[in-house]
Amino acid sequence: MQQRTIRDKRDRFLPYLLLLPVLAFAAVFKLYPIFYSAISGFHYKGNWSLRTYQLLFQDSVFINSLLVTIRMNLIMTPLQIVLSLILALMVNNTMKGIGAFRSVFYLPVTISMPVAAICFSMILSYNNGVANTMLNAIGIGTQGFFNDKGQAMACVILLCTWKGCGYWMMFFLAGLKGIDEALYEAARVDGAGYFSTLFHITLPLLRRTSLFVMVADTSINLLLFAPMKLITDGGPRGTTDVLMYEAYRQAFKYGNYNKGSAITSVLIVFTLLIVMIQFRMMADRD
Amino acid sequence: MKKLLALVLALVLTAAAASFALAEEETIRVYTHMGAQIEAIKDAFEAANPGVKVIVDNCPYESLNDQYEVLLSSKSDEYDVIIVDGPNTAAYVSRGYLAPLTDYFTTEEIGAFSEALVKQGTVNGTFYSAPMGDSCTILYYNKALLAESGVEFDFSQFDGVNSRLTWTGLIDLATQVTKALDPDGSRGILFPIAFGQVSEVYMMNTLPNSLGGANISEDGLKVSGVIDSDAWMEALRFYQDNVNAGIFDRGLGAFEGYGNFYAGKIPFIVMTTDSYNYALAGGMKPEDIGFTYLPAFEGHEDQVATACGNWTAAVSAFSNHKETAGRFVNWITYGEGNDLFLKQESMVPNMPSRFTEELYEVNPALVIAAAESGVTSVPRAVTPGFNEYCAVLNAMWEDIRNGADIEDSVADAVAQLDSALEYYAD
Repeated sequence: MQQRTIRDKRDRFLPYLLLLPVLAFAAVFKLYPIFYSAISGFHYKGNWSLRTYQLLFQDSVFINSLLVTIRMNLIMTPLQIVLSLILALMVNNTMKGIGAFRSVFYLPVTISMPVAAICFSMILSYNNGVANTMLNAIGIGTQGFFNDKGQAMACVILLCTWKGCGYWMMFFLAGLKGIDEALYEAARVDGAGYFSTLFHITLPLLRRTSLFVMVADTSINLLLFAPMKLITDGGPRGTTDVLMYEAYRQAFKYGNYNKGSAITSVLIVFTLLIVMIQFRMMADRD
Repeated sequence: MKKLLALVLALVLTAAAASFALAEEETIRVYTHMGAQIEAIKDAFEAANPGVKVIVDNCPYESLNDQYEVLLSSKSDEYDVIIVDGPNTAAYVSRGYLAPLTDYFTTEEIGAFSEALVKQGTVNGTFYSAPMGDSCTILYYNKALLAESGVEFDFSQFDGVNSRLTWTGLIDLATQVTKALDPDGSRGILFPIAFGQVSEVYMMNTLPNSLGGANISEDGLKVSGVIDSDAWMEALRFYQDNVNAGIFDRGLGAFEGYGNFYAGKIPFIVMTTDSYNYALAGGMKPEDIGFTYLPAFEGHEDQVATACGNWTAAVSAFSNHKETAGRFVNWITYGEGNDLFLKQESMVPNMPSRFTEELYEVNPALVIAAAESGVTSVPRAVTPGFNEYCAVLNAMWEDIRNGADIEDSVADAVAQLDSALEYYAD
């Protein structure tokens, strides 16, 4: 009887014990920085104060960054999700050689973002980029791309979409593989067409996969940093100056850690809000 | 047993002696973007200071300021000597990153440096960063390209004091040369004229400065009324018009023009005097490298401004070896180390007495620097928010180069900077 009690106790604590290393890492490398930056944001020149936030919300650069972040994500995240789904639907068949297509679509994921960013900046270079050489050859003329305030954000979105779609495609593909083939058979017998099957069977059954992709993609896109650091420096005229880059600039270029922390805190709250909305929208209604 | 005891004692004594010797050796660490250059001369310091070991860690130029913010804001004692861009001195002092150098330099030694450089390294009357050298912007031209174009021009008519090229004259000349060399664009001449450090305030601000514009307010805390002045607007319009006309470079990043000049893709370029040796290293023949005084705006010949200022050596406020670090800073800026450094870098000397024939032989372009130094040279903005100043104005210059509306860009920059600099006024 006593032995059983000991075993029960051990069984009860064992999962926590096994989780301890991960929890410790999460506490040190995730939670501590979040709390530290939350506290740091409420400091101004070494004293507890709301002045950092007061100055932040009066700062036109911060307001612009917030708007740029929202604008970029309103375009980029839906675009990536839709394209990933289309790619997944395209490669979700058993034709010969389909593996090669899946590999090609997944290939950009294996390239690191800094390398991809540098390649894109060379391809889209104003003076000697391949893109402008080709555009000139067909008479369209030289484009500014990353140097043009009307095109820079689109170029960043293009780069991130090219790099990210293959990754999300794999999740959709896994979700598609999990749908029972019998449902499609039944729909075919009932005379349902491709789009009818897609909207009434595939997409509803991909709801959980879609929720994961949407939340993860949104979080990653909101924290986008490398292309701004390596190519645009937030320009031209602040058109690519996202919150993450502005936080970096304040902390590590200007040495204003309090302001950098305050921006990071705003970004965290903003991300949490978006994710909560997404969870509510995608919650199982049945 | 006795033998064993003797052996153990001998070993203990040897270990003690070794640890004593190790304790005697002091190591100082230097953090810089000029790692190879300082590494090459540090042996001389070690030889003159027995028991001192110098370790030099290199960091890419683009990341240096960011690295300092990370290291010094966390009060890291890892580095004893840091190589600081001169105008950052005020900002670093305001953040408590630098130790005063007054214990390691006599008043006479400080007084020997060029006045503008001492001013740059002094905050609230205390000397914090010692200049390793100075710099000067000059106009380079590719003699081989000019000869090939058939366009003849006598640069020897200019003495810098009474006469120099005007921007209008240079644009006419450069356009003629480019048209003659590459009439249909097939040869790949990129632009008639380039700025080596394009979209960087160090070089670009010389344009408004040459029309009488200042860099920042007297107290270093405002740009309104300065960068939106008539002089600035005229300079910015002049710059954008010539970029749009294909005369000045567009699309090249800072320092990308250098390589294109060495490769014969750009006939005229504004660079610093020490670029002469980089041009040689880049494959140009000495006889092909031409240089002259920076042009003036017509009607403003008496206001011409050249950029100056350079890298300085400073002691970290968090160093545990301040005394030795201070000695090293003195050695590399004032002492024997500076002679070695200047010869190697062919940089503009940090004091007038160091302009020697030997140095002119290493870098003939220094003749121009000697004439401009203290006459046309304008120090960069003195402000505790120098990083913010550079980030915002560099972006403004780049935006204007890319066709942004000048009034809007300037208004944005004024709003951003006045707001950012307010932090230091509180």
